[in-house]
Amino acid sequence: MSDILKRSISEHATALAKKEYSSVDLTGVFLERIERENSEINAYITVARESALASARESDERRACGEARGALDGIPYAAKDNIAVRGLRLSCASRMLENYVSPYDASVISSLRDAGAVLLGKTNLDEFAMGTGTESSHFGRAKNPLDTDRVSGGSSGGSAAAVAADLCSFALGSDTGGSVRQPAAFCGIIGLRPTYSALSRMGLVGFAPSLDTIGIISRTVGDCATVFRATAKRDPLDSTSAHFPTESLNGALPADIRGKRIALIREVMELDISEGQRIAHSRAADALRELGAEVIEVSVPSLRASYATYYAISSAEASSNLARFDGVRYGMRADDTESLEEMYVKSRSLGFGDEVKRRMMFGALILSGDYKKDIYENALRTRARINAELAEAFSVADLLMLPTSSGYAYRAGEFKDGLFDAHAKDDLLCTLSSLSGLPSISLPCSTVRKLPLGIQLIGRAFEEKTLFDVAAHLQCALN
Amino acid sequence: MIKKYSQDELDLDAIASSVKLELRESQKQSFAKDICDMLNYCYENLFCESADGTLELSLRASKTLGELRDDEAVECGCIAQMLDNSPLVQNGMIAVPKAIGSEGGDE
Repeated sequence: MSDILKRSISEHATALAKKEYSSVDLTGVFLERIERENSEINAYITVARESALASARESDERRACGEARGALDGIPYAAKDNIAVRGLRLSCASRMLENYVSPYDASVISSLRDAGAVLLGKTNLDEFAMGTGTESSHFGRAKNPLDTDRVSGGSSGGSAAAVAADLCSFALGSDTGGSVRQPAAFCGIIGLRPTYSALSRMGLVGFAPSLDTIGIISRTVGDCATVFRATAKRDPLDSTSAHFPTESLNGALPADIRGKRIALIREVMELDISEGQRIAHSRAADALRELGAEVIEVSVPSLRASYATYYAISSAEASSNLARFDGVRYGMRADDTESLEEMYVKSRSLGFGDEVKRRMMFGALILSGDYKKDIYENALRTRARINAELAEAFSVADLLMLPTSSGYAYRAGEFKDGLFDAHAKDDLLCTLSSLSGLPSISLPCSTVRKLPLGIQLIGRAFEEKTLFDVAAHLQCALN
Repeated sequence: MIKKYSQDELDLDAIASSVKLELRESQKQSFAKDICDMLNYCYENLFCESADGTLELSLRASKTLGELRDDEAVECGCIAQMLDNSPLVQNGMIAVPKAIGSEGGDE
């Protein structure tokens, strides 16, 4: 049965329909593999064995009655542990929420429950999704299944490792500044950051609300499209969610991409990018030309400023957003304190790790005095300028293409003394779509020393179908 | 001229206090260095110096700070601003930064 673990969602759906195996069989095989491999990979923080088997049994019963709900019914998946699932721990990989159990489901979890998908458990992440290597997790780092000495990326490193190590069929992550796409690239799989507002954020523990997006990690572009179709919808519980025109996803995937105009960004090649990544980028452009697309060049002059812009805005929002963790309503509370103020301070000082503290302090600093004028307000202006430059680029292009990261997965601990430099180098390429809210998908395009390199495509808002079409053709061509 | 921040300028205890944290002595030096690095990185990448020595946002050579409209910033920063202005902030439930290291301030 172990060979079934690598199958796509559509292959599972066909097999389940033909009764080659049941959802209970499939879920059982994944759970066995998790039991065997998770102690090494550390992809899961919580495994929901009993509830997974119960959901699988319900799926099999529906199917037996001819009431199967579609392609995702009976398919096992994992969710990042900053997404709320009723009755399961919601730790955000933080000591602060180590024992917090969510009383409700996030809207995306409800959508997947309605579609019949089977939740296997909650995956590891950087504490409160702040990081690029899942090294700041209170539960230890998630390892890259392709080389366990290396990081699986971050912050959705547990979700990416779980998909790459065949510990689930697909996984949900969250992407604020690249946290789905970069780990997908490091683990050689697909990572989608949807258009901001296409997927409800209700039940996602916020880091930076103007940037946070729930994303999808999968083995194939087709799987990603299937999960996206089931989860993209207007949610009255999230005032920032939008109606997604799901009819735009109808039709065969992938559609013909001949004549599509794919733009490379001139300024990308001025950045500190590895030689292997440059070659991979060029190889992907050649493949697109062979597929009949027109490859052009555009300029996004503010690219260099995008990480500083992202870091300033995300840290400022985080400093306010994480104020809710005060020892009163959620999570841990320090003992032996003599005043309310002391309880706040001790609970937060004990509960948060260093990376979260650094970002909250930096965010607070740049919202004050002259720092606010110099850095925060100018970051907002730069964000507006980046949006304008991208709008100009999309007046001549259907999609933009750029590397997902500067190189392949780095060694765990490699940037211990210069973590900020690592974040800046690896996240910069992902921040354009984060700041603009545009959808972006990362797919594997090459390997160096057997380690994958990713390429990302950025599309117009709500035009995920174009992303899926081009990415699916490209994935075939590059493999 | 592009500023270069130094660790000596930062009052770490005041910054930590503004977000209801206290730092161990062993954390202070590395935090000061890290926050200073972050400030300098942001400053260096958001700004550039023009040929006549004036400071510009490093966007387009022709676009100076004065030419950028404030509403451009407001449009995309509205969520962060809403958080800043929320009742939770106003009544002190959220630890929002005061003007750290200066008297008064505009917060």
